[in-house]
Amino acid sequence: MKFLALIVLAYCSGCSYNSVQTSLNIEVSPCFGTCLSYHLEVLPNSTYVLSDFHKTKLSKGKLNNKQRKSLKSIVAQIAIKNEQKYFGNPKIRDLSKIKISFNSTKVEINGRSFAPQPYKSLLKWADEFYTTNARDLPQRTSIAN
Amino acid sequence: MPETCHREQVLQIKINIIKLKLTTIALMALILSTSCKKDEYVNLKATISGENVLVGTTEGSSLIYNISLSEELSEDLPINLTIDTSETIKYINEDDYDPIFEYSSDLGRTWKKGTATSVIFPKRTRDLKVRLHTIDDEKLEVHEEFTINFSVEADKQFSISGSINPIKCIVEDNEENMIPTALVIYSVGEDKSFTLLGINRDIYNSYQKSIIDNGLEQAIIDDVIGVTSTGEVGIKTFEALFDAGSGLGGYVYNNSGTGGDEWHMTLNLSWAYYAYDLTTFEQSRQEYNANGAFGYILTHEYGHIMTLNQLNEIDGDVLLPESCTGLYLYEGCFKEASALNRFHTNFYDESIELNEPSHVTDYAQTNIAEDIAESFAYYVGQDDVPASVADSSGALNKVNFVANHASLKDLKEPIQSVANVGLFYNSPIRAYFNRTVDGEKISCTDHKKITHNLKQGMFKLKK
Repeated sequence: MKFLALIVLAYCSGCSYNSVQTSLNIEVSPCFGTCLSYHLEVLPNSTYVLSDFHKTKLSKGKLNNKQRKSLKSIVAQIAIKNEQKYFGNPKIRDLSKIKISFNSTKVEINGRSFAPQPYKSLLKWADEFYTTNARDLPQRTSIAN
Repeated sequence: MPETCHREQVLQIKINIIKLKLTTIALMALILSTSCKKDEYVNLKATISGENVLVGTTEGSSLIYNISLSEELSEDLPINLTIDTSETIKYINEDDYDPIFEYSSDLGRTWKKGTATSVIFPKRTRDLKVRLHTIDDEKLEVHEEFTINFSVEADKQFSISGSINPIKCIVEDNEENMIPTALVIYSVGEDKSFTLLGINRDIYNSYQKSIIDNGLEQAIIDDVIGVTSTGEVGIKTFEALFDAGSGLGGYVYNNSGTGGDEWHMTLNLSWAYYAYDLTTFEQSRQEYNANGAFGYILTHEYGHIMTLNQLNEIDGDVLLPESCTGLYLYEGCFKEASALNRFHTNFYDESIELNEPSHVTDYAQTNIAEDIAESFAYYVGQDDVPASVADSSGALNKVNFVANHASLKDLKEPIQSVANVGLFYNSPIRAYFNRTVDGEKISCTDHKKITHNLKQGMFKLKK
């Protein structure tokens, strides 16, 4: 019986990108400046909706295998470190406010530099996803060293 | 005659004896010299190698590198050294080390001076220590890095195989440091002096290194002090960052835990030295704050301080939101006559409908605190503000509100006199609010058309 349960569990884990039963929502608000801001929703079946901060839909589709795998490994790290709900100093004005939610995890981060590592990785993943999938948006470049 | 002949014979014999003796001496000398040469050590061939690839120390101490030869040489071998800082952002400054290398062939018991570019591997030795002194100063610096490259002078005399790998060197700064969130943090004294408190050593561009090494440009300090001294509440700490990639302009917060005002301000200097096209994100180098964008950011941040401070704006007696009869934000309960409370009454009541554009910028839509800070920066940044009428846009009404509010209206001229405040914020609202997407001007009071064009314009930029 236990063996059967394990098989079912293993099977289910392989279905979604990290046994996420609800959608993964990442909401990044604007900062005072030109920081990226967007809303990304990824459903358990790996379909996604990417919108700008005014809720205007920018793109919709399904994560490819590579995206799904990388997201799965990042979310797995977060899942075991989700005791804290708030990161950053709420008194600071003008930083990006970030909301991340999936399953029972719901966190708010005031300023991406205050995000602990697993969340930083998730934001980096989402930023890259946004710049890749929000077509026709100007691409930000960094000043050369 | 016979007597004469005899004397000559004796003389000849003596000469022959002397010749024989001289020949014997010469032969003996030759034999001796030959035997000496057989004892002299002659070797000009060896393999050279180094022990380290990474060496670290704390400033004031020495960096020591160990070099070996497989065989002793019979002549001194010159070793060339160069200090290479081209591959690192955290390069060592020339005044942080003594440029003269020293060397020791007796395991460090005695040291001889080389030059800034060479040391000698003495003959008849196999192990050499090379030493470079670092200088202990009282300056806050990054943990500086460089690479030492070793080479053996190409010389027909020697046949040296092998090589010494380049050695990465790290010199850790030993000053007490208060690590800031941004790049550099200063306390701001009552006399408006800036005192460096800490640096972030985790840098990733050369601008950051330059700011840490040389401090802030005086123009930055003058502008920050000038602007934040125009009102009753100033700043206690200031941080600068240089991060073009983040896009962040700056931020402020009140660091007081006791209901006072201890304001902290952080500004991103990349806005001062780079001009951005906010629709394409292309950037170009500019003289300090040439386009006024940095001045605009500074003014916006000061707008926060002037509208969120405890001294004039917050009612310190009201601690709980439910006890507050006016606007309550994270900073506390706003006094009835405070700028933000009046702003809330004028523009945020549910019954009020604002003509488009309702906000001066996109960012002003984030929340009421950003709305008034942006309206304030727009008021300061414009030489003339048209008076609003009943039919005016929400944005113009808000700028006019700032222009007429007691605590804000008088700040415009003093700020303009110390800093270049440009309306850099090329937001879609500013670009399109009274123009069609094709640039055709439309009436400022044709709000229906403005709203339509605004949406078109924003879509054009944001699709």
